[in-house]
Amino acid sequence: MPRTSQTPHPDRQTASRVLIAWCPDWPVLAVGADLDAPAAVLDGAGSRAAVAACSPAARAAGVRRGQRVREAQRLCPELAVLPRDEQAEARVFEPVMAAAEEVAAAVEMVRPGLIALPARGPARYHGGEPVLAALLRDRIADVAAPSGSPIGCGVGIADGMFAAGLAARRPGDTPLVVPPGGSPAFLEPYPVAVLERPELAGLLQRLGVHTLGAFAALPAGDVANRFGADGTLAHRLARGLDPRPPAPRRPAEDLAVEHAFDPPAERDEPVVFVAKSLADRLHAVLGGAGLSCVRLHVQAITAGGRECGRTWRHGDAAGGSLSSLAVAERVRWQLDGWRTREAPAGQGTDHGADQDADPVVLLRLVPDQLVVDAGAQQALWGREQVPDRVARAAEHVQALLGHAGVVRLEPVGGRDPAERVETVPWGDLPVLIQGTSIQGTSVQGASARGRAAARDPRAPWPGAVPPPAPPLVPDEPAAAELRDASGALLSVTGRSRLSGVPATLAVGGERLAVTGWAGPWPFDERSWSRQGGRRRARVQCATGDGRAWLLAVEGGAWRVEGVYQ
Amino acid sequence: MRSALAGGSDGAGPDRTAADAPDPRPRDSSVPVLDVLGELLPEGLRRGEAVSVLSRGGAVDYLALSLLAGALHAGLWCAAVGVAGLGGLAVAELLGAGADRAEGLSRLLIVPDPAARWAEVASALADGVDLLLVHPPAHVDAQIARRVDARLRQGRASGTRHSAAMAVLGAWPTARLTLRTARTVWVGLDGVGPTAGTGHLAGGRATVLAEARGAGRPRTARLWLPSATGAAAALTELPATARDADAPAPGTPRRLTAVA
Repeated sequence: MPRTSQTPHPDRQTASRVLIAWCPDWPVLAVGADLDAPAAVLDGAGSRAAVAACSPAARAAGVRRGQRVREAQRLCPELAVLPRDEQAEARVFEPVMAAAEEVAAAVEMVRPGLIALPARGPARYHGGEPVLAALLRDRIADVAAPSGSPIGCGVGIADGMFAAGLAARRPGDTPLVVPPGGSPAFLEPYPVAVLERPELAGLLQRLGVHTLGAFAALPAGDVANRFGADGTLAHRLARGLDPRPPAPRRPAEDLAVEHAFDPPAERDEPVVFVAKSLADRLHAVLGGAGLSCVRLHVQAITAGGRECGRTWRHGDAAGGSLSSLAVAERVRWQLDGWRTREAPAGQGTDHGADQDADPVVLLRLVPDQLVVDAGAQQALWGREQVPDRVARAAEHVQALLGHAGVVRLEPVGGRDPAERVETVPWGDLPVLIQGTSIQGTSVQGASARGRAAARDPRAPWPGAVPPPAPPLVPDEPAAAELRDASGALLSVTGRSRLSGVPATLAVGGERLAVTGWAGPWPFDERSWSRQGGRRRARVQCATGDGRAWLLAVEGGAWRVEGVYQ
Repeated sequence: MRSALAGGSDGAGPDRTAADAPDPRPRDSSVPVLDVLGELLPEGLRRGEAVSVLSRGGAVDYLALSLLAGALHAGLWCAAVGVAGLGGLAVAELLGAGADRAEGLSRLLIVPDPAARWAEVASALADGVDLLLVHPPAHVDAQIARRVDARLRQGRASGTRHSAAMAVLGAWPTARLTLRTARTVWVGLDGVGPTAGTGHLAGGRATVLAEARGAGRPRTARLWLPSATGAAAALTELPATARDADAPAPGTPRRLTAVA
């Protein structure tokens, strides 16, 4: 490591001792899959779904992270495919966190499945780093996974998060402890791909730099010139340093923000709602001081005097901070997990009456490990055009009714009046924009999205109902009966004619006289498909009470598709 | 009030109430309505107040949607709370054609099923949007109505906060103004004899009534609601709509008369 000597403060460049505990394949474990059978957890939707994690059995068959689902199923036909459930990941991880907190204070959850903690203090307390590592591993192994098997985890201790993470991932039965100052040597043989920057790794390999050791040997200044800020971060990692320069001391003033609930919040939704505005305030306070924090401590105190605290990494390891929405999400996870832990055996995670027992009275966000803000962008897609007051009101309602409680309309192509407008929950991407979607983890949602993507409103839709469109489109098409003067129920013949002249319309218990009518217009949808194909006919009619109706007949049954009034 | 609106990046759009009637108050103190309803509601919908839209069975009709369309067309934000079966396509058609349509539609927030929390939701949205369309349950508790009213007025009284107008589907205790569609004559379904069953619904001539509390005769307006394109139009635009009624627009499903 010849280059560290040229820095003015070599001692400030060494990273602190960090212990990392890594539970492999956590997303798979969390959804309750058996690790011995081939299983994979998917991220994304539809044909774009990619493997987020897989069981060892699946990995042995060649399934890898980031693979398309089709490719994975080709390699391993018996692969069980499950949608990802991030909330369950956080919830199921809660007992593991609790076990770790019995061993050491200041445990930090990098993400569900990955724990980091400063090793120096606990190691001294427990009598050495190897002892600490073994103890933590045993404690975590005692916690049972959802499938009932013990949780295996890798533990590693090294200088800095990066090296410790690699040490934890090192296969082997005993925890790996990299001696102080040994991180650069430990990192040296690893390929550059472990930096998890595919573009940079590819470039480095083409330049003939294959290992972290070779990359670390490059002069820091040249790396900064050639690869920019991100390359500099990667270079620091490769040299066994922390990605950020060491944090300055915490300033004297208290930057924590808190909100006292009066009356106490009996449900979690208001707490999560407040968490969002608190996060905004925290960002404002930190922004005013020109700082950003690496970690965020979320603390909730209940009326019963109990406290639920958890430290979350504020953004990814390489910089960037959490949006206020993401902070609120973490508060929700934390409360979910905590409630589950407090009310074990069967009570589950439903937001039911069992929460009323101990309402939250105080929520506090404490920024931890402050660093000078180097600038990060915080923007959420499509939010620029929305005035603040509207966004606030909509999010308030979402906090009351849930994510799908507020929707926006989007015109799409189609033939039915009901089909030609799609509802999109507030904050989600429009249906017609393909590609990355925020939601869409469920398989159903994925297929609906896939169908919607093909529904271009500008495409011709022969057979669409002509304007004007009905103002009332029943959510559940109501049953109706269209009869002729003799009282016989009308049907549509094979030659697309009505079997009689409409005279009365019975709907919702009312019997209305038909004053005018038009149709029938038959339309076959997807006549080539066995499942999706439908053969229907539509009729418009006006009735004596001043309303007009859009009726559809399918299989002899009449339904109200729209009311003009 | 003006400063509160100016905070939004796309605050009040073109305001047509000022042209229709001289108004001593700030121009953006009311929510504009569609041009064709200008005679009926010369000063638009007043912010901080509720108007009642009486429709058959409290179900949403063209009149209620045209109020939303007026505000959306002016670049304002709207919300519909608990309005079952709201025909989004009808709103889109009332907005007219072109880019305006999708953009206007995206400014409409819909809370499809607030259930028992409708008052809470309406109050929360009153702080954000400019016009609320609310469908309360059959019997509105007087106390809850007062609370929602107070929330609406709150912004107006303090003068600095945002304030919304509210249209209620059904009766509302404090509504100063009641709107309803007296009758609609449907055009396009009136074939008799051999032409019976031909054509398609091509619009409706509606008579709309605005009844102010304590003010004698209700004001009436006759207009195409909807016209053949689904928009609202003055009755004087008869030639265009009449022609459309006779000759269906391209893409219209025609009646299948004979199959050889």
